[in-house]
Amino acid sequence: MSQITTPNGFTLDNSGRRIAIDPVTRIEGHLRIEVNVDSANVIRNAVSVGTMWRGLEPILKGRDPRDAWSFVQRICGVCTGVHALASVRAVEDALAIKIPTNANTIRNIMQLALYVHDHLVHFYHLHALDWVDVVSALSASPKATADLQQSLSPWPYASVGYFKEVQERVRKLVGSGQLGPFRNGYWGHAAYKLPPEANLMAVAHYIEALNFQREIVKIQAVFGGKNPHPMWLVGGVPSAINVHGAGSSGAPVNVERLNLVADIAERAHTFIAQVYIPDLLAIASFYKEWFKYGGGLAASSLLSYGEFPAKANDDSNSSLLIPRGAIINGDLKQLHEVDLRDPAQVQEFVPHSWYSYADAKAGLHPWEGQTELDFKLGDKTRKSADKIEAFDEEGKYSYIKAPRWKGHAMETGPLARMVIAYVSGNGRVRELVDGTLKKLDLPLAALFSTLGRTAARGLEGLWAAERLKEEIVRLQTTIKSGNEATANTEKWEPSSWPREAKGVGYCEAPRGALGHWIRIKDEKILNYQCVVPTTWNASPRDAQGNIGAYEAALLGVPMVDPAKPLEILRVIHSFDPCLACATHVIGPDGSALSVAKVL
Amino acid sequence: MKKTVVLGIGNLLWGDEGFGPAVVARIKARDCLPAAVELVDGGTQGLYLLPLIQDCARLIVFDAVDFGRQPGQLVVLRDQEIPAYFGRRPLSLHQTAFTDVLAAAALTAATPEAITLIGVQFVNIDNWGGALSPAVDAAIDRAIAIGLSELASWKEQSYA
Repeated sequence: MSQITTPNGFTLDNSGRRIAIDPVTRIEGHLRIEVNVDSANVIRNAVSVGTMWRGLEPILKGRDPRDAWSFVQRICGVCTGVHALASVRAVEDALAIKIPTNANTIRNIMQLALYVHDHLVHFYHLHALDWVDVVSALSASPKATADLQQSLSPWPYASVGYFKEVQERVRKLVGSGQLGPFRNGYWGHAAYKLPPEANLMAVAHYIEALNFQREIVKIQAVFGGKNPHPMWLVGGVPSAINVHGAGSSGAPVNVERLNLVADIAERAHTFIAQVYIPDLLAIASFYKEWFKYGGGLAASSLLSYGEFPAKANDDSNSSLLIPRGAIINGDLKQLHEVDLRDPAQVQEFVPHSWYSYADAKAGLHPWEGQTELDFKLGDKTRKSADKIEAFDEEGKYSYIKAPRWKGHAMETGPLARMVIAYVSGNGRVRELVDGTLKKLDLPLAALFSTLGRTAARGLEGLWAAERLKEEIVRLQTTIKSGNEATANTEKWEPSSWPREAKGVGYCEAPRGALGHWIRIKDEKILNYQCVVPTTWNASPRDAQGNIGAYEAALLGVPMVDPAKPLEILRVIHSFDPCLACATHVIGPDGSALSVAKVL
Repeated sequence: MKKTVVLGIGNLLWGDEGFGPAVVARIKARDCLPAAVELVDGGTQGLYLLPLIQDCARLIVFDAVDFGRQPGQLVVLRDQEIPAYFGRRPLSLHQTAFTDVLAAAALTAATPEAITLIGVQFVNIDNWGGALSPAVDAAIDRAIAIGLSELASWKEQSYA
């Protein structure tokens, strides 16, 4: 290849300089990005490499389907709960188990609380430092920062003294040479554009969010017993509600606990409305060009499985608060129906992935899915003594399969959900999106970009905080009426199951569409396949050469200095990548700024 | 009242990386901690450990480290010695996570008043799915003894 055009309409040119970014760390870090830039340092080719095998599917074979949630939940400790939720839904679907109203509401509450938590933590602790220069914050005037804060919202932490104190704490950390969480930034990079006072304000909020996020997770612990990895249950939720009866004062879910949950939700809503959203708008207004870069598949191909059933056991679009559907070819007027059971819709391909199928070019529906490892490198892979310098994207190059919907590579996540809710006529989503675009004086098409994705996540965070409060009221109302049921155990005993069954469970995780497909035979798991959000977004090429969402989004992005690939981080972080989510870009010795290599 | 915490960090599925959790498991089996002290297997939880650090007055951390010493040799660092070492070379395979947690605690003005790190010189950390190497495994009881005497000295200083 030198220059080619993919079937999904992107022009790739790998003749220029190659840059590899590999966030390998000792703990996490399973994503590597390679790009080629032209003579003007504009990205002309992109390759997304998943460098670690998940491997949970083979572990599940032969196990009790009622235990599957507990295994799959360990896929990730950050988007905790989502795999368990998809798993219990898959088993309930296979065995036709109906869950009680309270179980549905509690699942919604836990999932909404996760959105609020994940979006907040993603914005402040993963993504904000791509836009906020911590070192510049040290030169800010606390007075100017206080003025700025007071002009933006009624948030109470807004005094000159407060910002002075925050600045001192940061100065101490930076001055000691121990940057801690700020170690991996490209401070002083020419692509940073916020004035010092905006940087100081954002750093103060970074710290406030650190303190506040620990409160939000308490909601998971109230209903699921602990966090991360709360407890789940096929047939409902394992939350023992006791509001009326004897012993209610020490019960896991009682009036006092419900009041705590309601209080946290209220404070979360305030934090998002008064801190997160104003910060988002402030950052967006200084980086408007990033509403042009990083769109990739967003303008053409978006997918949502739907989430938050308002009615228990009803996952039609009339019940789902976030609708299910697909947008293809950029046609926002037509929302296509998505059927996760249809063997011709969701399929996974492996010509460029380190797996083998009997028919190498086939697309397999997850019920027929296979997970046979096949690590092979393309002929043009560039190696040094014991290291791979550059992968060959014409061969196999990732542990991530290439999922496709009716053959289309798709983007999934908050942007997809907000756009699909928008075109479905969701009034509150339309209000949030239109209001934000108006404030920034941008057209709807600006959403299909790096900052569009980041803005959609923030707006969804606000939307989720509002719904969270409503769902808590709903739970309180149902309980007040005397209904404390949280589980249906009619089909708990395997003797009540059919000899063979198959089901699909899905949810919209904070970072996108998640599906689990299960086959049960003789009371055991026969086959289990997970297609996770980052499989969609970080997908490698497929048999036809269609590129995935990360790869497409990087094309056309101009870089100031390829050795300091801040722009690549901005684009990739806007997706909230699940791989390496905890790591930023950290060298194996922990001290390097990153492992960006210009080859 | 703020608590005293004994914390082991590391990845049990990664050779000598599992030292911290292995120490916690041994302490639990021996049931040798004073009742008021909280024992925590921190695993690879990273920033999730922040609330724990913010809420503790005194902290003992067990971890696998690289000081270029003899395999299984123990190193004890206290308070200011811990971050000072980070700047020079990797102290712990979790330093990215754990130093971040300490720095985050400092940023939120909630640093423990006393921290002691008891580190073991690892042998093999590229051993995916493997057990502790014999030298590191043999260091567990010695590490626990150091930890217990540290707790006792804190008690004398009326810390715990």
